[in-house]
Amino acid sequence: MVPIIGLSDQTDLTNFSGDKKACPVYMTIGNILSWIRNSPAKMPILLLALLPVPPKFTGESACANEAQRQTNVDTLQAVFDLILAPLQPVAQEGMAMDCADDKTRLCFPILSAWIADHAEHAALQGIGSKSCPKCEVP
Amino acid sequence: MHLDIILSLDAVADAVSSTARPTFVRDELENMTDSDYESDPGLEITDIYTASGEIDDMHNDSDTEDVSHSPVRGRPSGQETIPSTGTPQGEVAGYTELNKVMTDDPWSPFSSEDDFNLASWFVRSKVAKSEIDAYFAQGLGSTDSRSFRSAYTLRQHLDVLDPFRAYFVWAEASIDDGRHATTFYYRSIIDCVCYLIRQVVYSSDIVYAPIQEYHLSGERLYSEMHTADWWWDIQV
Repeated sequence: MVPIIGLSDQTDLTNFSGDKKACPVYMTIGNILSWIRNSPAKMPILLLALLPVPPKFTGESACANEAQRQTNVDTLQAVFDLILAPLQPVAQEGMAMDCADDKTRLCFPILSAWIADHAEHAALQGIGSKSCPKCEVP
Repeated sequence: MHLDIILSLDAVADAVSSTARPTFVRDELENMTDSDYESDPGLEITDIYTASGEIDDMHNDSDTEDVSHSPVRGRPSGQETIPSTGTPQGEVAGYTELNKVMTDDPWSPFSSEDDFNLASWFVRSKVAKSEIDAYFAQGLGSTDSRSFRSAYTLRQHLDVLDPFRAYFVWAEASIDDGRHATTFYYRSIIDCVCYLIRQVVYSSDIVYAPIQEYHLSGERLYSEMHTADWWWDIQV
């Protein structure tokens, strides 16, 4: 089994007026021991996608405009659908992959963890910014 | 930090004790790691790094269940595994051929050790393309034995060295929310997984099956992801 660990965060590219933001999504796998996985020099974390930042259509901010907010959430969901779609059949049926020790194994890549801060979790899971992403507190 | 130092010493000791291993490769690998740690993850570094790993792994019979590198202070006294998990299905096709080429001519596609060292220095010290071109244009080095004479040919050699380039194709997609079409870029997640699990550099630090580790006193030890319950429960 290959547990996939995803990471994402929104980051500011510039700090001038008209700030640019980027939302990179990274991934790594849990098979690599953590002292290697967490070492930047070994580069075990790959850039998976750069999420689109939806343009603003109105003068109002996204917080004030309900339709805008809904559009943003839908866009995000659609993008993740697209990125993670190839995972679904492979996670069920498995896939023969070449491994580092020159053997082939039947691998089941499963999305197992997502490392992000609270604001990112709230955005990804489409919940209010004051809700808990893990339990059922509204 | 302290543990890291001990572990890297272990790795060096392994390198010394292994008689068949070409020592220069280990040196290169260590250098690469050091230089890269200070810098952005650049493509050039990746190329050499991968290639060194390839050479390095040739004489390395790694055991899949080997956890001797695990940074556990108290070594587990016993462990259980689920039988038949993480068992290989077969050999990777074409790997022995690749190794044979590497053994026959370890410096390929460069012409000599000197040649390789120069290329390695260019990449590691991040010499600009124009400077590399100027280096040859001004005749600073003897160009007779060089397999590359410009930044472009050097780049081509590095491309040859990286067998995993195909995994890193960016796909472009556009999402239309009714009013605007936004373009974004992504990679195939399956290819990324393939790349990571194929990466020979990690070969001694990859686990394929969950284990349960126990201390002498019978207490369960949790250290890495594969020693915890989640993986064990999911594994069928």
